[in-house]
Amino acid sequence: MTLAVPNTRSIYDSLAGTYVWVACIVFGIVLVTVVAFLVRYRAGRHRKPGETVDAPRVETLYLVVLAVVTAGLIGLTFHSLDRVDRLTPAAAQDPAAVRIDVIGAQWQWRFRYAGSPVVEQTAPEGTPPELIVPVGRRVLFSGRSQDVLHDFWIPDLKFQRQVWPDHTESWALTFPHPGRYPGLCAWFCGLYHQNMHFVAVAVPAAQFDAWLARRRQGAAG
Amino acid sequence: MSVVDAPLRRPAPLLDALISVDHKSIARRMLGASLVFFLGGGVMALLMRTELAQPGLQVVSTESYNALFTMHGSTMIYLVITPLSLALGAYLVPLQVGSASIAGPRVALTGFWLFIFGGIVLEAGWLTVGGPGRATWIGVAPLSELQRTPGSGQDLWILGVLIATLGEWLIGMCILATALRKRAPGMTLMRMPPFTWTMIGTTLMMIFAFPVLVVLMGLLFYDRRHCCLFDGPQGPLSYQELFWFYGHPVVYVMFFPFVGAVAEVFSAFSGRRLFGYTFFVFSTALLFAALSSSVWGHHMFTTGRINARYFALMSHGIILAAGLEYFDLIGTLWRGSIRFTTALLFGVVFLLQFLVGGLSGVWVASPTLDFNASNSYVVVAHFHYTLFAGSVFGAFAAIFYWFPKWTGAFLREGLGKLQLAIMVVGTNMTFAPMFALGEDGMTRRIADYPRASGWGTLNLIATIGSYLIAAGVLVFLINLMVSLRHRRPAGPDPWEGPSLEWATSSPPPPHNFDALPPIRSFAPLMDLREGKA
Repeated sequence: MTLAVPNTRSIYDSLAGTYVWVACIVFGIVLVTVVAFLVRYRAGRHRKPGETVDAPRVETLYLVVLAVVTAGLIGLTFHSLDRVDRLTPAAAQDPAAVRIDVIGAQWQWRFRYAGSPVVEQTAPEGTPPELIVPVGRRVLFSGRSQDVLHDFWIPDLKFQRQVWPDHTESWALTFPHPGRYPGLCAWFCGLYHQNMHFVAVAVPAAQFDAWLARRRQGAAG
Repeated sequence: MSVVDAPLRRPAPLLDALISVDHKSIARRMLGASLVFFLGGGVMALLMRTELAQPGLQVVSTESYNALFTMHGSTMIYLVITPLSLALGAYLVPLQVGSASIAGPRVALTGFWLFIFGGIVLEAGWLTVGGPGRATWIGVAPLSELQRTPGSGQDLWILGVLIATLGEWLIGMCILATALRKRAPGMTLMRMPPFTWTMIGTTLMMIFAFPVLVVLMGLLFYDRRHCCLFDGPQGPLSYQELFWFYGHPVVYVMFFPFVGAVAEVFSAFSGRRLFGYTFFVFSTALLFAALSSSVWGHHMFTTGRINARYFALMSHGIILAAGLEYFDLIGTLWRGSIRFTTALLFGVVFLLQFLVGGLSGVWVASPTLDFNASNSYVVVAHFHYTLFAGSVFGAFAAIFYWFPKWTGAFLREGLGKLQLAIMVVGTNMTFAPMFALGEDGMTRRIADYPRASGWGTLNLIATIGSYLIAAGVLVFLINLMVSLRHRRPAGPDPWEGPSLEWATSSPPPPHNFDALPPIRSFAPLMDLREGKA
């Protein structure tokens, strides 16, 4: 299934693979070289230690290779960052986007669906509130905190954002598949930080619209 | 009998420990103090790992756990690895540059006592009714404000960090001044040993970074009583920005000296001079120090309020400096005549394990990847691979290498290798699973995790690993006692080392040197042995 709307998870996955491979290759090269040197140059086998102190040409060449690899990684990172950065303005311009206020407070999350009347999703402390979202549609979040720093994190979407008092931070996510996405506060926020969970429940768009309409009626009535 | 000939009377040992301005005495006491704090911080870690072995709360309460992780991080960073780095520098830099003393010996002594006093103030929080600081090792506002974290423990935390950091800063400045102003005739800048150069990189960063933390702690202390420095839309950002301006360079303060130590160890046990000395000096000591003072914002990618591209660019730039450092260290093994001492093996393991930390550091330097990794166990794994699997192993390489110089006696090699074997297994069991836990969504600073998460097995492995580490440390303590009780005397130069500290007795006399060999390169003792001097 290809999705029209890019999501943070696919952007992350497309970059992560390259970084893992580069890391594994570098670790392999260093490990093999060190072990080979330790075996080959152990005392008593070799006649006299080498005397090369400076090898500027070799080191410069090596530096160039490093710089090329580094530039490649930076290029890939910047490209992925461009894609992430486009998500929020795109959602802000998308009339179909769902707009949700995220409020973090010690030690619970609240979600408010914009529109009239406002629909609020809460839960008693200790149980995770449900963040109901439509699959495949852009969701624009406006986050703030009522007390200390919190951090909105959905590990399955590979994305987090800090929220703090007197400031509204915007970010956009898209939920690629229906299902339950565990969410949590990733910034230590005091005594019951570990209990500050929520669950994002992604449902088909039609089902979401029906749910929201039902809730609005309930809120109005 | 003339008055002049009467020997100088040394003060009684206790008084001597209080007021001696001999850099070796100051450094020895600092090493001892950081070892004591290390054991304390280690017990805190074991308590945390015991709690996390299974889902549910079995051992400590959430509140105690929050105090434990705050104080574990604070103890290890402010009171163990930073002072350990500086103690190595305070002991060795004057010797390595051929000086009879440290620059500003009374300033260094003041710095030592401030560090001790700050450490006592910080840990005194355990004795207060409400317990010690509980607002993480970065003491982040607004959580650390009075109404959010009440109690005198948090105040003691702030003052302790302020005082200890001020003391460490003073000692760092004395080390820098020693290297710059107290070198022996012939000891030009480009003849200073690699370890001394890494201390220069370290202390150059400290000039700018440490005073910022001292002032920030003053501001936070003020803010807890008055208002509103860290309120408003910019407040929490300002705190993070100021903290990480200290907090990132300090990571390298806790790393460079061990790179330098391992460079010396590789050189000595490979029987050859450091490979690529010039590149090593410019990359590790200077380029690395400049870059690591320019990357603090990468701790704030998830705020969305900093220039992510600039900090990603600078952070990736560290690959160049670190890559050169690795090239030169491994190059020193090339065509060497390698003796497999405990110190060398600790150095090799340092190199490989730190690489895991370094490569995962490249991972979190990319904002796209850090948007997930930040504040997860991926980060916990990353920085423990740098600070524990890296720096602490480098510290043990340094301890096994220089212990004969400090005491005149060897540590036991057999016990050292046993310790290394236990610690390698324990370290990787403890920290490798954390990468998987973090990637799977486990956040840090939690006393408990849901049973349904399925993280129990990996956490149990990590906990068993942490007990193995403790067993390794125990072997080291036994080694320390055995080696000091039943001394195996070491001469002035037991390893055939490259630099000047091996040109004097072990331990060196109060004035360090009776005579200095000619200094014509950065490895004057190797010159001497090869008849080149």
